Amino acid sequence: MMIQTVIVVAIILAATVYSVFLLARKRRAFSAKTDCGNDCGCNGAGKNLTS
Amino acid sequence: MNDTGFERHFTIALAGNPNAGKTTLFNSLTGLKQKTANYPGVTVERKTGAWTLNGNLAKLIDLPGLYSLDATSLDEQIARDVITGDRSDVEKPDAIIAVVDATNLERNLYLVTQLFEFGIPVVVALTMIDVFEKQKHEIDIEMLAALLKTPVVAVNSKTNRGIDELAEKVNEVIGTTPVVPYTLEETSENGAHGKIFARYKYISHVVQESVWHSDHEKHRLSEKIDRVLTHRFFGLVILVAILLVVFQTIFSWASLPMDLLEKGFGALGDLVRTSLPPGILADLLADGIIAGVGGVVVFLPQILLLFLFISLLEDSGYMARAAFLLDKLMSRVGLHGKAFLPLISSFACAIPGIMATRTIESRRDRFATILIAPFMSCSARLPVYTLMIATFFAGQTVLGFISLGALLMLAMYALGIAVAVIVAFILKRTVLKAPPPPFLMELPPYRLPSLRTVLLNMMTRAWLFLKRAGTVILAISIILWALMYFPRQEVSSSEFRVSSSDQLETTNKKLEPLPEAEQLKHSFAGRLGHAIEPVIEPLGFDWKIGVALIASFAAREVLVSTLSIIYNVGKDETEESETLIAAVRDAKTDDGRPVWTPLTALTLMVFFALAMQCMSTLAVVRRETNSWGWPLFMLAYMTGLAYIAALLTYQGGKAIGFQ
Repeated sequence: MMIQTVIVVAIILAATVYSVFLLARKRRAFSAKTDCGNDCGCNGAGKNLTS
Repeated sequence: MNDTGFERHFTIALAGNPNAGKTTLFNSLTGLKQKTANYPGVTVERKTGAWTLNGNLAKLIDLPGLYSLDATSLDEQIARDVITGDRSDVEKPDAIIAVVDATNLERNLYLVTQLFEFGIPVVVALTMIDVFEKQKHEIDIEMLAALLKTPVVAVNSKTNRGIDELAEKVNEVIGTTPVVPYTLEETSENGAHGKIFARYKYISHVVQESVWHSDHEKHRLSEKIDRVLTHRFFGLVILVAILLVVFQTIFSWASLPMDLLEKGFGALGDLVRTSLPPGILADLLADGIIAGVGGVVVFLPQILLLFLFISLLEDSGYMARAAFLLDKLMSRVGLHGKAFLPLISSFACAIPGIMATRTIESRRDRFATILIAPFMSCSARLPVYTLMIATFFAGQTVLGFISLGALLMLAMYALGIAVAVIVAFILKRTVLKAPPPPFLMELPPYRLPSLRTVLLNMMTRAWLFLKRAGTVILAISIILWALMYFPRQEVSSSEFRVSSSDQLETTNKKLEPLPEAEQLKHSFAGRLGHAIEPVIEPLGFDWKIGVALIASFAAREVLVSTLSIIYNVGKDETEESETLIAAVRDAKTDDGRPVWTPLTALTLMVFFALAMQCMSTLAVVRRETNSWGWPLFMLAYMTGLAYIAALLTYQGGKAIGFQ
């Protein structure tokens, strides 16, 4: 029973770490330091609706 | 020869009009599998691949499709920057392959004339030559090459015609200086337009000398078909009929493989239960992982069929006609004509759709399109719609022959489009006010769908779906299972008896676990579900649906896996193993009423049709708008709208007598 619990805890931890990693990756995409999408060419001018 | 085994390294750019066949040629030359479709603008970002040509290695760049190098839109700017060597991340090309659609020679040659002016050698790859010849037209390739003063090769990526010759010609021209085969007349009289006139005058001469058009058929079959398919009334009737047939077919064809998959995952869960000793590990594997991931994977046949039909419609050229019909509607609400492609792409997934808005020059039009793209029913909504339809509306027909399920599915797609149009109308008259620029839409020729393209699209989508199930959905399923499983509660048997039978028995104080349904209620997820219950109760949802709703904000299809886990975790050992559909149908509230009714199912579908439940989409909107404000605005207004629409559906349905 103890071994089962250890395995389950390990699986849950692994899933949590992976989810945090995915979230961190998304956060980088959300980050203001990141430019617009690759090659979108807007050069960070997204906030200014000039046209 | 250097250490890579190749004599020389080159950079070659593929440039051409949208829908000229660049990506198909790129895939053929590099062996890569970039997405292709029979409508303009599929390639928005540039893609690179390796191409070996006669002992040399070339880095092949697939540029976005463009009509000119005037750099009025983002994609034209990217292409121009690559060609002029103004981008720091890519070398200036040593040669350009100008992909020219033989069926639209005049329009395609305009870009070629501009390419000549950059001083980079150009080889013309003539595509769609088979279609051109079938239309009983003739083209003198040698004459065309002589007039253009550059090599011209007829290519066919499906049959590999001309591929070797193209490599030879590219090798030959590298290092040479191209000749601009006409005189640029920019005088004070005609100003900058003089260049444009000079190019068109020259193109007209080239086409006149090298092409013979057949005039035997006054009205080509394609034009006749177009008259019907783009008719403002019959066109819409045909569009609705096609979509109904598609959805009806998806339901009927997918039912058998879905049943098999469902039984397979059920058997796998049983196998785990019988192979492992009862306990927490067996619970995690059977109720968490197999139920969670399996609950989503069973929808694979439907996803495959959906993309089979989307690919067939795209590749045959029909999708562009459908877009033409919708474009009339879009232009009336003030949306840019170029918005049609991003919106159509969003039916598969909003992310490529939002990225495809880069073809729209005006930032206001672009943002308006981004803000409505997630209303298009993406494939992640399909498992949710299907579960609800299969549970409550399966086998029912309207007028005796139209499947109610297919009709409801169509209604969800139509709801998304209708709300998108209304929102665009409001946005374009308020925060994103601007007149829509004129737009000329090109209708591609009809053609027999390529089996390779169709299979490739289906396989790509299937792989993405399974990858998501095996990574994101798996991780979320495990975490959700843990949230539904813990904390484990034990009570004295006397306490339990008080709560279950209302009789006081205080003699036996032995500790024993709560029944599974009670455990779930007291779990972390159960408490969260109960906390939000007052908010979702007016929509007819109980706390279990609330838990699934919260989880689905990570990704829409997580709703299905969450319900699958909830009904497995909350199932007592005495209950028989059942499918998710049966579990949803049989679910009861604490006072014994059914949790789900057809009206609840419809309400949930309406909520899902309109709510913003995709973190990846929000991330892309953040990136594309370079602002936090727009994704937050999108999340707030879409979810608010979804709540109101669901509330109206449920309360309105109840008011007129539905359960």
